This record gives sequence, structure tokens and C-alpha cells, in this order.
Amino acid sequence: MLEFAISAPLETGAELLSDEVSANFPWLSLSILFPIVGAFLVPFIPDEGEGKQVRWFALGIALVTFLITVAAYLYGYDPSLSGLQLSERVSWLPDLGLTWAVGADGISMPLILLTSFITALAVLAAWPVTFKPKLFFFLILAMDGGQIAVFAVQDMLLFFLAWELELLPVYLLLAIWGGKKRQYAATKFIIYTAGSSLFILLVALAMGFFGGGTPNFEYTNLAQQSFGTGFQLLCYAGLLIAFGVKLPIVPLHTWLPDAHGEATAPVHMLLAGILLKMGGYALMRFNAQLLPEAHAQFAPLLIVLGVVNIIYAALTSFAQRNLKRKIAYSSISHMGFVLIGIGSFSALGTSGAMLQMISHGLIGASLFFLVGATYDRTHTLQLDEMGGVGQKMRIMFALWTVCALASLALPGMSGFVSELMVFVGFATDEAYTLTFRIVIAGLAAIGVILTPIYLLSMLREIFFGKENDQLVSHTNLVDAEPREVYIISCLLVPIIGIGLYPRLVTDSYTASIQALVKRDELAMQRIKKPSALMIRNTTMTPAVISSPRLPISQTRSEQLTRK
Amino acid sequence: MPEMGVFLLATQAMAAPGELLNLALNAGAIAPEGAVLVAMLATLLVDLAGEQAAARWVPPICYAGLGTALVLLAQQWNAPLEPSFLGAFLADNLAIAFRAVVALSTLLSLLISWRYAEQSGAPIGEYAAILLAATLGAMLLCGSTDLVSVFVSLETLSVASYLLAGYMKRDARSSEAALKYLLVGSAAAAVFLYGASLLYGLSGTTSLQAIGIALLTSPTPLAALSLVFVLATVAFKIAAVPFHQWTPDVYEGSPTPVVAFLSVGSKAAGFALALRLLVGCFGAFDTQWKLLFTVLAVLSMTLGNVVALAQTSMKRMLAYSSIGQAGFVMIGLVCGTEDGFAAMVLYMAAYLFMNLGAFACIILFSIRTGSDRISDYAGLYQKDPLITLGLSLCLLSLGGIPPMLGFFGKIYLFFAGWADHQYLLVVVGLVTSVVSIYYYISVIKMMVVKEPKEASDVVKSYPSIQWSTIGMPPLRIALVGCVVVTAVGGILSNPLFQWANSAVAGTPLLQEAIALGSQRSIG
Repeated sequence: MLEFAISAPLETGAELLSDEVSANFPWLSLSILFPIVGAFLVPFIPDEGEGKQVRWFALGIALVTFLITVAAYLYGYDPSLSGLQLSERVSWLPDLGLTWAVGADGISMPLILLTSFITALAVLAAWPVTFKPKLFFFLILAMDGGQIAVFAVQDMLLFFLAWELELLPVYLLLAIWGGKKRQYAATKFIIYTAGSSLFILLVALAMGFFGGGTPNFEYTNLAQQSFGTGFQLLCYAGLLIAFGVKLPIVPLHTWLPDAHGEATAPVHMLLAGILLKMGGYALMRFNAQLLPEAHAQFAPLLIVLGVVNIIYAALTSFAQRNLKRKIAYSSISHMGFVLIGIGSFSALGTSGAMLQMISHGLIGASLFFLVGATYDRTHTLQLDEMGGVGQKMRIMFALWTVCALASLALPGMSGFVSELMVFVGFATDEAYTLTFRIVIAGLAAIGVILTPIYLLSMLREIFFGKENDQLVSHTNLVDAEPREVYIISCLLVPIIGIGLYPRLVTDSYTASIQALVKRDELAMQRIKKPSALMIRNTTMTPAVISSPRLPISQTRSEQLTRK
Repeated sequence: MPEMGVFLLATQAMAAPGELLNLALNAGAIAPEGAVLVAMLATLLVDLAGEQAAARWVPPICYAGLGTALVLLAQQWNAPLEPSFLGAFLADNLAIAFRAVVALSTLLSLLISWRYAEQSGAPIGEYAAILLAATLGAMLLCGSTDLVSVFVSLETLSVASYLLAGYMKRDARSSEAALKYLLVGSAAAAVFLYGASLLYGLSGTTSLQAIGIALLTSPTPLAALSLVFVLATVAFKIAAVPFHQWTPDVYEGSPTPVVAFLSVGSKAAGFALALRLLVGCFGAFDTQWKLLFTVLAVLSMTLGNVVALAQTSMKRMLAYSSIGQAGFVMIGLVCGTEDGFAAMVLYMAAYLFMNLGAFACIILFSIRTGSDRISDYAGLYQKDPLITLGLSLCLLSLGGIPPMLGFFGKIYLFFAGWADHQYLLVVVGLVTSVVSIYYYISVIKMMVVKEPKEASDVVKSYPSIQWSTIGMPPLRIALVGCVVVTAVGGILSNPLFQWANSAVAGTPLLQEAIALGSQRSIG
């Protein structure tokens, strides 16, 4: 793949992004279009209304999509390169400056894999859906392609298109198959998302038109523009609102407990597993990568917001009596680590944020799937009405325990590694003053202590205690069926795998993250006045601990320098 | 009124007899209008033969006439420009593009009308003839370059529209709509005449180009006054706030196919008129009319989209939504750049398909149930997937959700607006389109999300779907055609973009304005 590289050695911030490897085969376009085409075939599947054939078809499409993305990773992607790979470029609407530009680097490739993986499992989780099955699987498959597109596109206008594309499927999935307050939740979701996404378009237009000339919205082009600091700050603020709604960041999070509280299990897996990651991904991609100088100013805010997320959501989660809302708040709490990692200015911390997104994608999906499976049996989500069901559902209890332990970051699970990486990365990095680091790390640690408390007490309330006679007499508490065990074990294998050997995943993106952090650090040095002296160290010294540099990338840069 | 036009032309000819020799009539430019006229006359003649003959022959005659008109228009595309009728008409690409939109909107409106007319017992022949007359007026208006021809064609369009609005004469609401439309419309026409007479008095000519030059050399406060008058008429025609009051009532009362035509064909003609008058004639008052139009656009987008939230009648909601949509199009007008004009043309074309597709679905629903209330659509997904799918796609497109055609049209408008630094308009446009998503989605929610037991009484007693009755096949063709273009046209919209751009490139009037605008921004 090296002969495709065109750029100079990795030295300055702008050039860190410019080496680009075009695809030998349109893997990414295929992985976007294949599920969408599959979705349009769903209405033609002969079916008697029960959804038997449709779900097999949907599962087939989702699995093939997963295999396509895996193939893309294996045959077209070189983890040691920091730049864009698998890149494809077709002019779509030249009058709008819109190009079908897709590609993947370390920030997007793991999330593309996560998306296709979680969607395939969500289809399997949707086996019991018998109400309007064709529409359901149509929407799921259409969303699969749309979400891969969000991570894969390399053009900001196209990104807006893909971002909006996911609006309607999620709305309908919430509004038709949700719980009792589903229409309220769906409407709230669409207003929040549509309202926030207009900032994306505004910023896209502002950045694309910057400096006059023909507008170009491609990331590579935008990264080379030298935006003024004031302009960057404005764009950054707009994008922070747009992505803060999605991630969610605490004052903008109120749609999430409703949406997550009403969604049915497979939709829930997608919401928690993929949709939240769109926010984190976009923060890295746009805020940290394209607007480095504003990022240097805003980063302390991100960290503070991250801590607020962790503590506020963990405390709120305590008070929830509804199982789904409890886990929804725990999701918000976990996403706080992503914010801290992105704001940490250390390769290790940012790498941890990335790992936290992947890890939470897997853990969140597994927990929400279990919530759905439990609801199918108990027909209630109120913790007060449950209790003592552990006797009847032993395997279920085991699954719950393992997933809850993963979520509370037990060593050996992926959550532990990612949170530790964020902590160590943030604490050892000299970008912030010691006081600030101590305060933040201390507060975040409180959140880490709160998580086991509410998760374990939740387990106790569901499974232990006195058996609720009413519940047991009214409902049929069968134990987990093989399909459910299979789904959870599919999710647990990577969770434990990452927990034991994190480089399994981190190697796939370290190069990109290092490039990104280097770019941000350069920008920080360029700024004369950091935003707050109390928080910022005036002189930057490199982080004490950083991930080891990969040998391949060294040889590569040597090759390039020799050229 | 035509007498006055002839008279004025004659006086012009007498004033400059030499020019008369140079200017051929060049009647070939209005060959498409000729085809429509022939179709109209033939329709009237066939109508004399009785109702049955009319029902048999009127539709094919109309298709043939409008089809010929479209073919002739396609042949005129990029043809060498020559003013016809002593400079009263100019078939530039702008005129051709808008005339094509008008003709196509009539064709689609007719396709969806037959069953509706049949069911309401209205005579088909007269209806088609009046609609063709309105089309004739609207098409001529798109190419008029003289105050007299503008007024004549405007009145042809308006009078025919009044008749159409009141066509259901036994329906009180239809009569009310016609009366309201007539009163407001005549007032607007009178205001226009007043402004036109001022312009004539100031410049001594009725040719828009000559007036434009005269105003450029000696702008007077009086000319600004005439601008206000003329602008009021244009705003009335495109239903811009605050000249929109007639719209909801007329849309609600009029027969639905007529509303379909009014909301697209008549509006397209109004925008063509706006371009001719404001860009072509009031170049000297560029900043002033752009400011006024900015205000109108902001008001239209805001009021149209916000009031639409509260509507319970489908037609009324679409009336307010069309006010909002006109506001979006005005962004392109205010820009006055190459992209701005192209975005206008593109959005009008996109609007043609998505709006008429929505109307086709509404008509089909009201044919089957006799209702226009939004709440009656509850649970339609189970009973009629075609209407549900079609209406959903068209409404999503109107709301600007990707990957529909409307998304690309709207984003092009915002793109052009941003390129021209119209930040206020773009921000208002974006915010109001989020508002519009809410009410479009709530209709979709009604149809798709409601469960069978929540379905409305109307839907519960939904008749079995039949396509064999008279007038239904054309309705189906129109519906499916519009929906397909709306859904697929977005992804494959590159030809449409090229078309819109070449429409602007092939129009000297707009090119001059663009050149002038860029000079100003440099200077």
C-alpha cells in the first residue's frame, strides 16, 4: 500500500492529514450501499406477516455488510498509517461542491466495524419483532448503511446528509415500536436532533466558503485551511452544541433518557451502541482535528463537562426506578470519559476516549439487550415491581452480572482499560496544571466509585431479595434462550478480549490518534494565550507516558525521508 | 384590457416607425402557447358536443396540447434570442424554464383532476378550458418583457384563476374562495396598474428594458414608489407575507386540483414576473428591493412555517407550507448571483414534483373518503400503503430530509445564500425548516405510527382500492411519477442542476444583473 503514499514526512500539523491512500476496491461504498439496497428489497420478500422470512433476509444482509467491513479492514486498511485510507472520490453534484468522498482512518475504521457488528447483532436481537416486521427491518438496514456513511464520509456536506439520513428511521423506530410514551420520546428526539444538526450545516457552509474561491467541503481540504482563531471558536461552539446533543453532554442530554427509555431492545442497542458514538466521533473529527486552535481553548471546558457528565449522570442514575432510564443515565455517565479523553491533549488519553467509545458500544449494547430480554419476561421495567427473579432465571442472572461488571469497569474487561487510559493519559500529561489535574481526576474517580454502587444495587433489586409473588404468578419467567446467550457472548468476547489485550484494538487507530494529538499540541503551542492560566501550564512538555511508537510507522517515515 | 395593449403597441410603432421594420413579429417564440391555445379551443368545441364526448375526448386533447407545448419549449432551449412582438415577449432560457414548469404543472394537475371533477359532477370540458386559459396566461407572463404584455397575461391568469377557484359552484366555501380571491386579486391588479402608469410616466416607454435604463440614468423618489406598488403585486402572486391573507382561504375552499395548479403553476409565473420586473427593470433600486424582499422572505418563512403547525386541515396546512416554501425561494432571488438564480429555478422544479405529488395523494384520499382533515389520516398505513408512501416521501422532501429532491434544492438555496453573505436569511431558513419538519412529520406520524385501533373512523370504513374507474389511471400515473421523481431525483439530481444553471446562463437579463452585482461587490 505504501507506493500510493504521496506526502512528505509527518512534521507539520497540516501535513499530518494529507497522505492519502486510495482504495483498491470500493469497500466503503459497498458497505454503505449494500445494506441500503438490501433495505429496498425488503418489501419484495414474500412473507405472511409474521416476519419469518424477512428477518432471515435482514440477518443475511447485515452479516454480509459486517463481512464487507471486515474485509475492508483486512485487505484495504493498514493500521500503521495515520492518514486517510480506502479513499474513494466521485464527483456528485459539482455545483454544490458535493463529492462522494469516503475513506477511513484510525478514527473511523474501528467505529465502522463496530457499527456493522452491532447492527448484525441488533437484527438477531430483533427476532421476536412481529409487528410490521417489513418496515422494521427496512429501517434497521437503511440505518446500517446510513451510520456506516456517517463514519466513512470525508466531505462535510455529505456528513450532514448522512447525519440527517438517520433522523427519520430512528424516529419511526421509536414511535412505532417503542413503549408507552413513545410518541413523546420520538418527537423530542427529532426536535433535538434536527434542531442541533442545523449547526452542522451552518458550520459546514462557513468552513467550506472560508477564504473565497470555489467551496470545497472535503475534510482534507478543510484541514489545510488556516482559519482565524475567532472563526474557529465560533465554529467550535456551534459544533459542540450539535454533537453535544448526540453524545450527549449534560445540559443537552434530556432527550436521551426518554428516547432510550421508550425504545425497544434492538433499537436500543443501536442507539446506545452506535448513535452516541456518532457524537464522540464527530467531536474528534471536526472539533479536535479541523479546529485545533479552538480546541486548545475549549479543551478545559470539555474536561469539566466530562466530569459533570460522569458525576451528574451517575447520581441521577441512582434515583431512577425505571431500569431502562437507569442504564440510559449510566451511558451518559460513561460518555463523560470520552469528553475527558478528547480534551486531554495526550495520545494515551485520546486513545482511551476512542477505546471507551468502542467499549461502551459493546457494553451498552449488551446491557440494553438484557434489559429488553428481561422486559419480555417480566413485562415491567419498574425496579420496585421486580425482585427475586434470580431463582427462576439463572443464566439470565449470570449474563446480567457479567455485563454489569463490564460496565462498572472491572479489571480484565474493556471498560477498565479505556477508563484507565483516560485517567493515566490525563493525569500524566503536562498540558494542565497539577491542581486542575488533581481536582478533575479526583472528581472523575468519584464517578467511578458511584458506578458499581448503582449497578450492583440494581442487580440486587432485580434478582435478589424477596420474590415478588404477583410478578411470578402473572408472568412466565423462562430462562435465557440460546439466541440470547449467543448475542451476549458475541458481545462479551471482544469486551474481555480488549480487557486482556487492548492492543488488539488500539493498534488499529494509534497512528491516527497520535497524528491528531500532535496537531492539537502544535496548535496549542501556536496560541500565545491559553484560555485559563489557572488550568493551563504555560509551557508544554511532552507527556511522560505515551503509547509506544509502532515499528512499521517508523520504517515508513524513514522510507519517506529517504525519498 | 387587450384593446389598450394593442393601442399602446400602435402608438409605440407610430413613434418609431423605423424600428418596426427591424423588428419582425417573430411569432414562432410563442408556438408553445399556440399549442395550448389550440388545445383550449378544441376543448371548447368538443365540449359543445355534449358531456359524453367531452369526457371521452377532452383529456387526450389536453395531453396533446400540453405535450406539444413541452416539446416545442425543449426545441427553443438555447435557440438564438430574438425579441418577438415588438419587444413584448422574449423566449430566453429563463422564460422557457418557467414556462416548462407551468406547462408541466398544468399537465399534472389535469391528470389528477379527472376523477375529482367526475365525482363532484362538474363539467370536464369547461374546467379544462379554463385551466388551459390560466396556463396560457401564466406561460405568457413568464416571457413578457413589456408592461402591457405583463398586465394582459397577468389578468388572463388571474381571471381564469378566479373562475377555477369558484368552480364548485354549489359549494359555499368554493364561492367564498372565489370571491375573496377576486377582490384581493383585483385590488392587486389595480395597484399594479398604478405602479405601471407611474413607470410609464417616468420613462415614457412600456418596455421593461427601456424603463430599466431610464431608471438607471435618473432614479427618482417617485420610481421608488412605483417599485413598492409593483412589488406588492408580485408579492401577492407568490403569496409572500404580508400579502398572503388570501392563500389559506382560497386553498381551503377551492377544488383541490385547482389548488395544486395555483400553488405551483401560478407561483412559478409569479417568480418569473418577479425576476423580469425587479431584476430587469429595477436594477437601479437593487439595494432597496433586495431589502424589501429580505423582509418578505423572513416573514414568509417564519409565519408560513409557524402557522402551519397549528392547522388541522391538510389543504390549509399545505397553504401555509407553500407560503414558507415561497420564502425559501426568495432567498435565491435576493442573492442575485448565478447560483442564487439557478437555485430558484431548481427549487421551483423540485417544488413542482414534490408539491404536486403531495396534492395527488391528498386528492386520492379525498376521492376515497371525502375528507381533508389531518386527523382523518390516522392509521392509513394499513389500508392504503401507496398514499402513505407517496405522501410521506413528498412531505419529507418538502421538509428537506435527505436524500429527497427537496433536500438538494433547499441546500442549494442555502449554499447560494451563504455564498452571497445572506447569513440572516440562511439562518432563518434553517431554523424554519426544522419547524417545518415537525409538522410534516406529524402527518407521517398520523399515517404510519397510529395503530389499527387508533385509526380514524374514515380510515376504518375505507373503501376497497379500485383503479379501474374513470380518471383513476391518470391519477395513478401522476402520483407515481411525481413520487418517483421526488424520491430518486435527489440522488440523480446532477442533470437538474445542469439544467438550472444553463437556464441562468442562457438568459442575458440575468447575466447582466450578475455582472452588475459582482462589479458592485468588487468596487
